[in-house]
Amino acid sequence: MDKVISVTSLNYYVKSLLEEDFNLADIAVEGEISNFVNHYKSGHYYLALKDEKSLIKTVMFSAYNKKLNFVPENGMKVIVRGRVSLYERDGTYQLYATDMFQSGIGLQHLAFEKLKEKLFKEGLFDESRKKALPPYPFSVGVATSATGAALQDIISVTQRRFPCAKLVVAPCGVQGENSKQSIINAIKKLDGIDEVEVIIIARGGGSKEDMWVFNDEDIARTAAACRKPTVSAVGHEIDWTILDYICDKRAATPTAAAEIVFPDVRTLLFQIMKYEESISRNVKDKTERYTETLEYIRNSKGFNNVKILCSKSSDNLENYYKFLNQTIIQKIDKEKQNLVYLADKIDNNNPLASLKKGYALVFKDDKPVKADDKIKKNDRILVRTHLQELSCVVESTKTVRKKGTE
Amino acid sequence: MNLSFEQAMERLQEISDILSENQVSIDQSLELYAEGTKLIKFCSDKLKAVTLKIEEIDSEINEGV
Repeated sequence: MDKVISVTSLNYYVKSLLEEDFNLADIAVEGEISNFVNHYKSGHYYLALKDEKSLIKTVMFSAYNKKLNFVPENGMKVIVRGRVSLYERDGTYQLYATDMFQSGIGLQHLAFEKLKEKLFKEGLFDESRKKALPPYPFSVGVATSATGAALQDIISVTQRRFPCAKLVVAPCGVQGENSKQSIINAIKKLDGIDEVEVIIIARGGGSKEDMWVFNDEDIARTAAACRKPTVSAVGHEIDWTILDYICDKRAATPTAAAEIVFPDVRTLLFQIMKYEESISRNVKDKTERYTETLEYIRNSKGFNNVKILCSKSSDNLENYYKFLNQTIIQKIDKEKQNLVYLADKIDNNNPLASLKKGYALVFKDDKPVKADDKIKKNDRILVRTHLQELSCVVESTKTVRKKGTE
Repeated sequence: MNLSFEQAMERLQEISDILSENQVSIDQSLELYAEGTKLIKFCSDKLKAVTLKIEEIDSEINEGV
């Protein structure tokens, strides 16, 4: 012993030793309450937790005891969760409680709270990972007991609200530890069916113990891993299960779940009717407006002026037409005269024209007799005058001009 | 029609909004009217069924395990 220290230093040292110990940082202790004091000013609870042999002083600050749903009293058996430390002033080591459960249900609740905290810290309850429910689900999966009231409630609400839907029911146990795997299978099966748009996990009313299976971690993780939105309908109005925290939507009862999931078909039909009305009214208004505008234009001064202008233009056209017509007729007449003149001129050169003047043409063997041809005695010739053809036989010939002389 | 019911309802809202805004030509209005009429029929048909279909699947088979 080579060093003397103060009381304060000792208490401080022991306190730091206690607080360094990992086991003592978060511990659950079961015992009976004695010497319970609810401090009137601060609201902190002071009590001793004891069993047959021992006792430990316990303090629960108001920040924590406000969350309790019961008021502790002497003789009550409880499980206290908290950390162990030392109160330096008195040199007493004590339990600083963060939570308290009544024994019996206490242990289960402790497990529940621990799991809830764990999943919360993992972010599985985050609003950001909640999926939105489809507004018009035509196919909905239901994981529940095939014989329970929950399914009947869901069917009757769906038949009333959205009878055009299809319910895909995956039967499973809903009570007791051995129903766990069948609930997991049902959820997975439904999540694997393409047409299913949302999954309801339902259980009818019952005691807290009855629905305890829905606080299972594996069921929670199965629901969290679903591709499809999930709706829980397993709890009570007040008691939430782990599944309630996990699912994208929580309904207090199966009936409420169906009401959340399905729209009311009458509301929808009314909405469609309103669309129909609004669309046809707007189109009708518009076409009527156009018809009125057209009528207005038809009767307007401007439009009639255009009409007059048009008829003036058509008068002008008429005049142009007449003028063109006349010019062309004159031109044609002139050309006609020209043609007659030319025709006469051509006529004068025609051999047949000389017949008119008293000349005659001579043919032999159907060919005209040319200037150099010689006709012999007894040749048959044809003489063509202006009026007649004469078949002749030559009696005699006489040369009046030698061939080749002019 | 490849639309979902939800898309059809959204499109109806859109058409109804466009038509009431009065900014569209008469040709466009008539086109929208035709489209709207089709969508209304499509949606009403979808809601027509009056008896709920219920299918029970066998969920006891342990898939992949």
